[in-house]
Amino acid sequence: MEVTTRMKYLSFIILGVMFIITGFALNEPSILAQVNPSNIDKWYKFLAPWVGESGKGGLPVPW
Amino acid sequence: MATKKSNPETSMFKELLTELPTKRIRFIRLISQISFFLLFNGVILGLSRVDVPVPVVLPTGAPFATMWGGFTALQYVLANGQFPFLVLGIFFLTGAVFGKLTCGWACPIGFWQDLIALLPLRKIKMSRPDNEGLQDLSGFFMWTSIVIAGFFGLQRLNGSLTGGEFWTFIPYGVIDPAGTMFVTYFYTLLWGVIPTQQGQNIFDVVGTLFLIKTFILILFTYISIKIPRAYCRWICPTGALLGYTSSHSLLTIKRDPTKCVDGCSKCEDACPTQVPITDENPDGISNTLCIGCGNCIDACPDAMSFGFRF
Repeated sequence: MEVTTRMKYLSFIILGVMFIITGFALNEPSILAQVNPSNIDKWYKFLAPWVGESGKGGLPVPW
Repeated sequence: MATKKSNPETSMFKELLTELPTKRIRFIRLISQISFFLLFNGVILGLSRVDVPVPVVLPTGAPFATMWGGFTALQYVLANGQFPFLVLGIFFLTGAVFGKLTCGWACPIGFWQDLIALLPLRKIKMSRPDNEGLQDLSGFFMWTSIVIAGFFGLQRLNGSLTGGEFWTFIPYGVIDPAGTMFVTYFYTLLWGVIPTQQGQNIFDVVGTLFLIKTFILILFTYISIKIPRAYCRWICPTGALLGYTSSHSLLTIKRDPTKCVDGCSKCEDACPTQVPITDENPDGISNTLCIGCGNCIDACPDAMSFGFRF
Protein backbone atom coordinates (compact mmCIF):
# COMPACT_ATOMS: atom_id res chain seq x y z
CA MET A 1 0.00 0.00 0.00
CA GLU A 2 1.29 3.44 -0.90
CA VAL A 3 2.25 5.58 2.06
CA THR A 4 0.54 8.62 0.53
CA THR A 5 -2.79 6.80 0.43
CA ARG A 6 -2.48 5.83 4.08
CA MET A 7 -1.46 9.37 5.02
CA LYS A 8 -4.42 10.82 3.15
CA TYR A 9 -7.12 8.73 4.78
CA LEU A 10 -5.50 9.07 8.19
CA SER A 11 -5.34 12.85 7.75
CA PHE A 12 -8.99 13.04 6.74
CA ILE A 13 -10.06 10.79 9.61
CA ILE A 14 -8.22 12.97 12.15
CA LEU A 15 -9.46 16.18 10.48
CA GLY A 16 -13.00 14.77 10.40
CA VAL A 17 -12.98 13.96 14.12
CA MET A 18 -11.56 17.41 14.95
CA PHE A 19 -14.19 19.14 12.81
CA ILE A 20 -17.02 17.13 14.38
CA ILE A 21 -15.87 18.05 17.89
CA THR A 22 -15.49 21.70 16.86
CA GLY A 23 -18.96 21.65 15.26
CA PHE A 24 -20.55 20.37 18.44
CA ALA A 25 -18.54 22.85 20.51
CA LEU A 26 -19.88 25.69 18.34
CA ASN A 27 -23.39 24.28 18.80
CA GLU A 28 -23.88 23.75 15.08
CA PRO A 29 -26.93 21.44 15.53
CA SER A 30 -28.81 24.40 17.03
CA ILE A 31 -28.59 26.14 13.64
CA LEU A 32 -30.12 23.10 12.00
CA ALA A 33 -32.80 23.00 14.70
CA GLN A 34 -34.08 26.42 13.55
CA VAL A 35 -36.02 24.74 10.76
CA ASN A 36 -38.32 22.22 12.34
CA PRO A 37 -41.82 21.05 11.45
CA SER A 38 -42.95 21.74 15.01
CA ASN A 39 -42.49 25.46 14.30
CA ILE A 40 -45.32 25.50 11.79
CA ASP A 41 -45.17 29.14 10.67
CA LYS A 42 -41.46 29.04 9.98
CA TRP A 43 -41.78 25.62 8.35
CA TYR A 44 -44.47 26.93 6.00
CA LYS A 45 -42.52 30.07 5.12
CA PHE A 46 -39.44 27.98 4.52
CA LEU A 47 -41.13 25.41 2.32
CA ALA A 48 -43.77 27.43 0.49
CA PRO A 49 -41.50 28.56 -2.33
CA TRP A 50 -40.47 24.95 -2.90
CA VAL A 51 -44.07 24.21 -3.72
CA GLY A 52 -45.13 27.17 -5.79
CA GLU A 53 -43.99 30.71 -6.39
CA SER A 54 -44.43 33.31 -3.69
CA GLY A 55 -46.89 36.02 -4.60
CA LYS A 56 -48.28 34.40 -7.69
CA GLY A 57 -51.37 33.38 -5.80
CA GLY A 58 -53.15 30.11 -5.53
CA LEU A 59 -50.87 28.78 -2.81
CA PRO A 60 -53.20 28.33 0.15
CA VAL A 61 -52.07 28.84 3.72
CA PRO A 62 -53.29 25.72 5.49
CA TRP A 63 -53.47 27.23 8.99
CA MET B 1 -21.50 13.28 -27.22
CA ALA B 2 -20.17 9.88 -28.14
CA THR B 3 -22.34 7.10 -26.83
CA LYS B 4 -22.89 3.54 -27.77
CA LYS B 5 -25.90 1.33 -27.27
CA SER B 6 -25.64 -1.57 -24.88
CA ASN B 7 -26.49 -5.18 -25.70
CA PRO B 8 -30.08 -6.09 -26.61
CA GLU B 9 -30.95 -7.01 -23.03
CA THR B 10 -33.41 -4.34 -22.10
CA SER B 11 -34.94 -5.50 -18.84
CA MET B 12 -33.14 -6.04 -15.56
CA PHE B 13 -36.31 -7.17 -13.75
CA LYS B 14 -35.80 -10.76 -14.82
CA GLU B 15 -32.16 -10.61 -13.86
CA LEU B 16 -33.01 -9.21 -10.43
CA LEU B 17 -35.61 -11.85 -9.65
CA THR B 18 -33.80 -14.90 -11.01
CA GLU B 19 -30.27 -14.07 -9.95
CA LEU B 20 -30.85 -12.33 -6.63
CA PRO B 21 -30.41 -15.53 -4.60
CA THR B 22 -26.98 -16.06 -6.15
CA LYS B 23 -25.93 -12.41 -5.87
CA ARG B 24 -25.08 -12.23 -2.22
CA ILE B 25 -23.82 -8.64 -2.11
CA ARG B 26 -26.71 -7.30 -4.15
CA PHE B 27 -29.20 -9.03 -1.85
CA ILE B 28 -27.55 -7.64 1.29
CA ARG B 29 -27.35 -4.20 -0.33
CA LEU B 30 -31.06 -4.28 -1.16
CA ILE B 31 -31.85 -5.03 2.50
CA SER B 32 -29.50 -2.21 3.52
CA GLN B 33 -31.11 0.28 1.12
CA ILE B 34 -34.62 -0.57 2.33
CA SER B 35 -33.52 -0.33 5.97
CA PHE B 36 -31.85 3.05 5.50
CA PHE B 37 -34.81 4.33 3.50
CA LEU B 38 -37.10 3.48 6.43
CA LEU B 39 -34.62 4.91 8.96
CA PHE B 40 -34.14 8.19 7.10
CA ASN B 41 -37.93 8.55 6.70
CA GLY B 42 -38.59 7.16 10.16
CA VAL B 43 -40.88 9.96 11.38
CA ILE B 44 -43.74 8.05 9.75
CA LEU B 45 -42.74 5.07 11.92
CA GLY B 46 -42.70 7.18 15.08
CA LEU B 47 -39.00 8.03 15.23
CA SER B 48 -37.94 11.53 16.25
CA ARG B 49 -36.07 14.05 14.14
CA VAL B 50 -32.48 14.64 15.14
CA ASP B 51 -30.48 17.61 13.93
CA VAL B 52 -27.62 15.54 12.60
CA PRO B 53 -26.41 15.66 8.99
CA VAL B 54 -25.73 12.44 7.09
CA PRO B 55 -23.70 12.12 3.85
CA VAL B 56 -26.63 11.12 1.65
CA VAL B 57 -29.21 13.01 -0.40
CA LEU B 58 -32.05 13.72 2.00
CA PRO B 59 -33.98 16.97 1.42
CA THR B 60 -34.51 19.02 4.56
CA GLY B 61 -38.18 19.49 4.02
CA ALA B 62 -38.90 15.81 3.42
CA PRO B 63 -41.95 15.31 5.64
CA PHE B 64 -40.80 12.14 7.35
CA ALA B 65 -37.05 12.80 7.36
CA THR B 66 -35.31 11.95 10.62
CA MET B 67 -32.03 13.67 9.74
CA TRP B 68 -30.56 16.38 7.55
CA GLY B 69 -29.07 15.60 4.15
CA GLY B 70 -25.37 16.46 4.39
CA PHE B 71 -25.08 18.91 1.52
CA THR B 72 -28.34 20.65 2.43
CA ALA B 73 -27.09 21.08 5.99
CA LEU B 74 -23.76 22.39 4.74
CA GLN B 75 -25.46 25.12 2.68
CA TYR B 76 -27.85 26.03 5.48
CA VAL B 77 -25.13 26.40 8.13
CA LEU B 78 -22.93 28.37 5.73
CA ALA B 79 -25.84 30.64 4.78
CA ASN B 80 -26.36 31.36 8.47
CA GLY B 81 -22.85 32.76 8.67
CA GLN B 82 -21.07 29.87 10.34
CA PHE B 83 -18.37 27.62 8.93
CA PRO B 84 -19.92 24.09 8.68
CA PHE B 85 -17.41 22.22 10.84
CA LEU B 86 -19.77 19.44 11.89
CA VAL B 87 -21.05 18.75 8.38
CA LEU B 88 -17.61 18.75 6.79
CA GLY B 89 -16.28 16.61 9.63
CA ILE B 90 -18.93 13.98 8.97
CA PHE B 91 -18.17 14.06 5.24
CA PHE B 92 -14.41 13.75 5.83
CA LEU B 93 -14.75 10.94 8.35
CA THR B 94 -17.23 8.81 6.42
CA GLY B 95 -15.50 9.48 3.08
CA ALA B 96 -12.07 8.57 4.45
CA VAL B 97 -13.30 5.37 6.11
CA PHE B 98 -16.05 4.10 3.81
CA GLY B 99 -15.49 6.02 0.56
CA LYS B 100 -18.73 6.45 -1.33
CA LEU B 101 -20.29 3.38 0.25
CA THR B 102 -23.15 5.52 1.58
CA CYS B 103 -24.11 6.33 -2.04
CA GLY B 104 -24.41 2.66 -2.92
CA TRP B 105 -25.81 1.27 0.29
CA ALA B 106 -27.76 3.99 2.10
CA CYS B 107 -28.74 6.96 -0.09
CA PRO B 108 -32.52 7.08 -0.76
CA ILE B 109 -31.96 8.74 -4.14
CA GLY B 110 -29.44 6.07 -5.08
CA PHE B 111 -32.04 3.47 -4.13
CA TRP B 112 -34.65 5.24 -6.24
CA GLN B 113 -32.26 5.24 -9.21
CA ASP B 114 -31.54 1.54 -8.75
CA LEU B 115 -35.28 0.90 -8.85
CA ILE B 116 -36.03 2.98 -11.95
CA ALA B 117 -33.04 1.42 -13.71
CA LEU B 118 -35.00 -1.84 -13.57
CA LEU B 119 -37.55 -0.45 -16.00
CA PRO B 120 -37.36 -2.35 -19.29
CA LEU B 121 -35.86 0.33 -21.48
CA ARG B 122 -32.71 -0.02 -23.54
CA LYS B 123 -29.72 1.23 -21.59
CA ILE B 124 -27.04 3.54 -22.91
CA LYS B 125 -23.36 3.06 -22.16
CA MET B 126 -21.30 6.22 -22.08
CA SER B 127 -17.87 6.49 -23.63
CA ARG B 128 -15.12 6.64 -21.02
CA PRO B 129 -14.04 10.27 -21.65
CA ASP B 130 -17.64 11.49 -21.46
CA ASN B 131 -18.35 9.43 -18.36
CA GLU B 132 -15.37 10.87 -16.52
CA GLY B 133 -15.59 14.36 -17.99
CA LEU B 134 -19.23 14.89 -17.07
CA GLN B 135 -18.29 14.44 -13.40
CA ASP B 136 -17.14 18.06 -13.49
CA LEU B 137 -20.82 19.04 -13.52
CA SER B 138 -21.31 17.80 -9.95
CA GLY B 139 -18.31 19.85 -8.82
CA PHE B 140 -19.76 22.88 -10.59
CA PHE B 141 -23.13 22.49 -8.83
CA MET B 142 -21.42 21.91 -5.51
CA TRP B 143 -19.09 24.92 -5.66
CA THR B 144 -21.74 27.24 -7.12
CA SER B 145 -24.14 26.34 -4.29
CA ILE B 146 -21.39 26.78 -1.68
CA VAL B 147 -20.34 30.18 -3.06
CA ILE B 148 -23.94 31.45 -3.15
CA ALA B 149 -24.68 30.14 0.37
CA GLY B 150 -21.39 31.61 1.63
CA PHE B 151 -22.19 34.98 0.05
CA PHE B 152 -25.53 35.19 1.85
CA GLY B 153 -23.88 33.89 5.01
CA LEU B 154 -21.49 36.84 4.97
CA GLN B 155 -24.43 39.20 4.37
CA ARG B 156 -26.22 37.82 7.41
CA LEU B 157 -23.05 37.90 9.45
CA ASN B 158 -22.54 41.63 8.93
CA GLY B 159 -26.24 42.30 9.46
CA SER B 160 -27.09 43.54 5.97
CA LEU B 161 -29.52 40.65 5.43
CA THR B 162 -32.04 39.11 7.77
CA GLY B 163 -34.34 36.28 6.80
CA GLY B 164 -34.57 35.82 3.06
CA GLU B 165 -36.09 33.42 0.59
CA PHE B 166 -35.39 29.70 0.84
CA TRP B 167 -32.93 29.71 -2.03
CA THR B 168 -30.65 32.09 -0.14
CA PHE B 169 -30.34 29.36 2.51
CA ILE B 170 -30.25 26.29 0.27
CA PRO B 171 -29.39 27.41 -3.29
CA TYR B 172 -29.20 23.88 -4.66
CA GLY B 173 -32.81 23.32 -3.56
CA VAL B 174 -33.96 25.32 -6.59
CA ILE B 175 -33.04 22.51 -8.96
CA ASP B 176 -32.67 19.55 -6.58
CA PRO B 177 -34.80 16.73 -8.10
CA ALA B 178 -34.85 14.92 -4.75
CA GLY B 179 -36.45 17.97 -3.14
CA THR B 180 -39.03 18.10 -5.90
CA MET B 181 -39.93 14.46 -5.47
CA PHE B 182 -39.95 14.18 -1.69
CA VAL B 183 -40.87 17.73 -0.64
CA THR B 184 -42.53 19.72 -3.39
CA TYR B 185 -45.02 17.09 -4.47
CA PHE B 186 -45.85 16.03 -0.93
CA TYR B 187 -46.71 19.55 0.19
CA THR B 188 -48.44 20.32 -3.08
CA LEU B 189 -50.88 17.55 -2.26
CA LEU B 190 -50.99 18.23 1.49
CA TRP B 191 -51.66 21.93 1.07
CA GLY B 192 -54.12 21.29 -1.69
CA VAL B 193 -52.39 23.21 -4.46
CA ILE B 194 -54.77 21.82 -7.02
CA PRO B 195 -57.32 23.46 -9.31
CA THR B 196 -60.45 24.28 -7.34
CA GLN B 197 -62.51 26.38 -9.73
CA GLN B 198 -64.16 25.31 -12.94
CA GLY B 199 -62.04 26.11 -15.96
CA GLN B 200 -58.92 26.46 -13.88
CA ASN B 201 -55.96 24.25 -14.71
CA ILE B 202 -52.86 23.24 -12.80
CA PHE B 203 -50.78 25.90 -14.58
CA ASP B 204 -53.00 28.67 -13.16
CA VAL B 205 -52.42 27.43 -9.65
CA VAL B 206 -48.79 26.45 -9.30
CA GLY B 207 -45.86 28.76 -9.83
CA THR B 208 -43.18 28.86 -12.50
CA LEU B 209 -40.68 27.41 -10.07
CA PHE B 210 -42.87 24.35 -9.62
CA LEU B 211 -42.93 23.78 -13.37
CA ILE B 212 -39.17 24.25 -13.72
CA LYS B 213 -38.53 21.81 -10.88
CA THR B 214 -40.94 19.29 -12.38
CA PHE B 215 -39.21 19.54 -15.75
CA ILE B 216 -35.80 18.98 -14.14
CA LEU B 217 -37.10 15.98 -12.20
CA ILE B 218 -38.61 14.39 -15.31
CA LEU B 219 -35.41 15.02 -17.25
CA PHE B 220 -33.16 13.43 -14.62
CA THR B 221 -35.57 10.55 -14.09
CA TYR B 222 -35.52 9.75 -17.80
CA ILE B 223 -31.73 10.02 -17.98
CA SER B 224 -31.36 7.80 -14.91
CA ILE B 225 -33.60 5.16 -16.48
CA LYS B 226 -31.51 5.10 -19.63
CA ILE B 227 -28.14 5.51 -17.90
CA PRO B 228 -28.03 3.78 -14.48
CA ARG B 229 -26.95 6.07 -11.60
CA ALA B 230 -26.60 9.04 -13.97
CA TYR B 231 -27.52 11.51 -11.23
CA CYS B 232 -24.92 10.01 -8.86
CA ARG B 233 -22.24 10.03 -11.54
CA TRP B 234 -22.51 13.55 -12.86
CA ILE B 235 -24.85 15.78 -10.91
CA CYS B 236 -24.96 14.95 -7.21
CA PRO B 237 -23.05 17.55 -5.13
CA THR B 238 -23.13 15.22 -2.11
CA GLY B 239 -21.22 12.63 -4.11
CA ALA B 240 -18.85 15.33 -5.38
CA LEU B 241 -18.01 16.30 -1.81
CA LEU B 242 -17.49 12.67 -0.79
CA GLY B 243 -15.31 12.21 -3.88
CA TYR B 244 -12.56 14.38 -2.37
CA THR B 245 -11.91 11.73 0.28
CA SER B 246 -13.32 8.54 -1.26
CA SER B 247 -10.48 8.04 -3.73
CA HIS B 248 -8.13 7.21 -0.82
CA SER B 249 -10.61 5.59 1.54
CA LEU B 250 -9.71 2.92 4.08
CA LEU B 251 -12.41 0.53 2.87
CA THR B 252 -12.16 -0.22 -0.83
CA ILE B 253 -12.74 -2.85 -3.50
CA LYS B 254 -9.68 -4.91 -4.41
CA ARG B 255 -8.90 -7.04 -7.44
CA ASP B 256 -6.63 -10.06 -7.62
CA PRO B 257 -5.00 -9.73 -11.07
CA THR B 258 -3.63 -13.28 -10.92
CA LYS B 259 -7.20 -14.56 -11.18
CA CYS B 260 -8.14 -12.32 -14.09
CA VAL B 261 -8.43 -13.79 -17.58
CA ASP B 262 -7.29 -11.85 -20.64
CA GLY B 263 -10.17 -10.16 -22.37
CA CYS B 264 -12.60 -10.69 -19.50
CA SER B 265 -14.58 -7.64 -18.44
CA LYS B 266 -17.28 -9.16 -16.25
CA CYS B 267 -16.56 -6.76 -13.40
CA GLU B 268 -16.70 -3.70 -15.64
CA ASP B 269 -19.89 -4.87 -17.32
CA ALA B 270 -21.57 -5.25 -13.93
CA CYS B 271 -20.54 -1.79 -12.70
CA PRO B 272 -23.50 0.63 -12.72
CA THR B 273 -21.23 3.68 -12.96
CA GLN B 274 -18.90 2.20 -15.62
CA VAL B 275 -15.69 2.35 -13.59
CA PRO B 276 -12.78 1.02 -15.72
CA ILE B 277 -11.93 -1.50 -13.00
CA THR B 278 -9.20 -3.40 -14.85
CA ASP B 279 -7.26 -0.16 -15.30
CA GLU B 280 -7.45 0.65 -11.60
CA ASN B 281 -4.83 -0.19 -9.00
CA PRO B 282 -5.55 -3.80 -7.87
CA ASP B 283 -4.86 -2.74 -4.26
CA GLY B 284 -7.94 -0.54 -4.27
CA ILE B 285 -10.20 1.35 -6.63
CA SER B 286 -9.45 5.08 -6.49
CA ASN B 287 -11.91 6.19 -9.14
CA THR B 288 -14.36 8.75 -7.74
CA LEU B 289 -17.15 7.17 -9.81
CA CYS B 290 -17.04 4.03 -7.63
CA ILE B 291 -19.96 3.89 -5.18
CA GLY B 292 -18.84 0.65 -3.55
CA CYS B 293 -22.00 -1.20 -4.54
CA GLY B 294 -20.20 -4.52 -4.91
CA ASN B 295 -21.85 -5.54 -8.18
CA CYS B 296 -18.36 -6.32 -9.51
CA ILE B 297 -17.80 -8.72 -6.58
CA ASP B 298 -21.04 -10.52 -7.36
CA ALA B 299 -20.00 -10.74 -11.02
CA CYS B 300 -16.56 -12.17 -10.19
CA PRO B 301 -16.25 -13.27 -6.56
CA ASP B 302 -12.95 -15.02 -7.28
CA ALA B 303 -11.01 -11.93 -8.22
CA MET B 304 -12.94 -9.07 -6.60
CA SER B 305 -13.46 -8.42 -2.88
CA PHE B 306 -13.99 -5.72 -0.31
CA GLY B 307 -10.82 -4.96 1.63
CA PHE B 308 -8.99 -2.40 3.74
CA ARG B 309 -6.02 -0.30 2.65
CA PHE B 310 -4.04 -0.65 5.88
